[in-house]
Amino acid sequence: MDLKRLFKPESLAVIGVSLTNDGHPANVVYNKNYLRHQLHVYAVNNHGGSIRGERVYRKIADIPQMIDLALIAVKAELVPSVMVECIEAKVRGAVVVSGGFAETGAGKLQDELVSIAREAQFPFIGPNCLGVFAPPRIDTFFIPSERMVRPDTGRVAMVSQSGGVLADQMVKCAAEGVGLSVAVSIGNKALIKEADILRYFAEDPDTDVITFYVEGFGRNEGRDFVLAAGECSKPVIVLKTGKTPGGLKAVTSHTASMAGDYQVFSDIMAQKGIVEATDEFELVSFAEALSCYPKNIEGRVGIITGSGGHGALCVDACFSHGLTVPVFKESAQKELREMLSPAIRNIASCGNPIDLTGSSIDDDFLAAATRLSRNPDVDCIIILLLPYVPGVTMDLGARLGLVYQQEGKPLIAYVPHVEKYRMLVEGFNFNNMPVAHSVEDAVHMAEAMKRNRLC
Amino acid sequence: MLTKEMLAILSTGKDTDWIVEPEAKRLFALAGLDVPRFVWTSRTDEAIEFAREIGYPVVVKVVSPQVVHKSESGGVVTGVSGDEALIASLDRMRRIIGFAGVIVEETFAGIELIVGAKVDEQFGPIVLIGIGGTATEIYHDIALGMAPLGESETERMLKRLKGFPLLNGFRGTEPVNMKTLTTLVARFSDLVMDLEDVMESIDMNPVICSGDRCVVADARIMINPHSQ
Repeated sequence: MDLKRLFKPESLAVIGVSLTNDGHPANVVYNKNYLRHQLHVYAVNNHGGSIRGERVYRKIADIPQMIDLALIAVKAELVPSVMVECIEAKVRGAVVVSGGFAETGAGKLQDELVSIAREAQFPFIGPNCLGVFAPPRIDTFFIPSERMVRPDTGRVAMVSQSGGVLADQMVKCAAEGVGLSVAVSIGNKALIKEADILRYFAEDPDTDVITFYVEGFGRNEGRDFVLAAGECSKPVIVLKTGKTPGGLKAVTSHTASMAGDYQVFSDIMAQKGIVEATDEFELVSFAEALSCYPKNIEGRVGIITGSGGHGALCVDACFSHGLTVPVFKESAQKELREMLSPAIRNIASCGNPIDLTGSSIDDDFLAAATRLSRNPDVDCIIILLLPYVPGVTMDLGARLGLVYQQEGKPLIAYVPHVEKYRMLVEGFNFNNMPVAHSVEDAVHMAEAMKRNRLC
Repeated sequence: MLTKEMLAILSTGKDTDWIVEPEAKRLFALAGLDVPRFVWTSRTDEAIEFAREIGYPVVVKVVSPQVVHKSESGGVVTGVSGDEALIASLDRMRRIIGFAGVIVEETFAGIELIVGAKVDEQFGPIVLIGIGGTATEIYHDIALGMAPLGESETERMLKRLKGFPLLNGFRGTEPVNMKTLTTLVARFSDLVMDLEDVMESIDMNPVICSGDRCVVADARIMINPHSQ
């Protein structure tokens, strides 16, 4: 099945708009796409009429243009017949927003939908979902625009079984400067499942990293997903809930008693080089790090700091996350020392961490980052940028960006995330470098790069 | 591919939903896994003859379709050092419920592992490797992987075990022959793929590994009661 028109449609029919209730989910979707998005949008309701001065079509077949995507927001029991009409009108796919299927016990109705779609090779997302958010082209989320926090357009695709969790992750992405190519809520995932979407985004030229929030896999669905991820050359990040040991049957074998759901999931993710996030914050941090640096590292970290305490915190965090902090050779330390400004030359610590002290200036950070970029003993740099150091300016982010552009070694920055330091953060972000909101978060990002692809 | 002989072995577990040790071992041997030399008999003279042939000390284990966990029922005696001890063990085991003979087999020394498998609802056949053999549930030092497993994937799984240094020759002990271990796990994982529809879980526990061999010292296969 070709999923392209689900994610990149040029025309949208919203089926089920209300002529009396402008708060109806279908109306919300119609209005936001009509006002703000690029595609052609048409309203459908079996009574006809008009909305915003535009015609409401009685049937999808009445629309004078070929429709790529139908958004179906009618009562559950009417969805199968509406889907048949879409198929007959040669619509390319659908998002079924309506609830009232397997999640309420109406599994039979859902099966009926799947068999109709499967027979016609008609892809649909849902039911019981928000669908696709991919501005400036389309947004099928029935959340009014003013209520949404919209991240920038970027190269991370976020897929979620829960619409609520997805909307919340988008808030976090916006706060962390993580841009999205698309956000998809797949709800009951009756037909299109994680593995299908993964295969699509593996080939999508606008996406570099794919994240999933998974509540559960059906029979062998996890296997299919893992195999699809194994073939995907882009980083795949997964956050899964429901990992606590389920109700085991009478345990007759050691293997069955020890292979609890949680470890099965974690170990298989590690086996196949899929990056497991353990909470929603990690998911966003990992997405940020891997969208900047999709290549695997061994995890030999060089640390640059203006505060000894932060350096020590960072070393501890590295060790507890399985990363190493190698000590630099005498010659490397000496070379760096000679490049430092006179004020700190005799007080800076040039081992690992490199502590430039509170008397350092921008040029010292640049010198240290350049030296470490060329030091083969480390494959990742964490730079702890504390803007309280008087010699550090707001230009340093962009200037370090230049070091990264020239040298190419992954560099993760920690900058306190408050409005006052925003320019410093953006200097990194505009150069496609991740900025952590805590020392621990910076270490998590490095760990994600280590876990990516290989365990 | 399951051969006719393998299918015949699997059909012996139909009524009890599990396959007793000697049959399970025969299946593993057919799949190319290393199992100890053993005899399955209820006759004392046959047991003695075999024990003398392979040399004492031997291991004696009860075979009973009604006893899944042999140790807990007094159904395992190791270090049986002569005819007299062998006769005594046999006499005791004849009193165990469902007695269907004993296994007499050669003794192995080495590092004990568990290698097992189950069919997971979400991921299909998965393989478990753990340190500790029969004490594995206490250490809970295990790594899991989705079958089939290649040898390099198996090696990465082993490296995730906290007890991995034990396999590598800890404090002067002989290191385990990694190649025999990874080959055993890889072949086992292929077998598990073939058994997906038949099995519920498998324990090879312990697998005893030394510098030259990795031997399946005990095994049982739990059959999926819903399979045909």
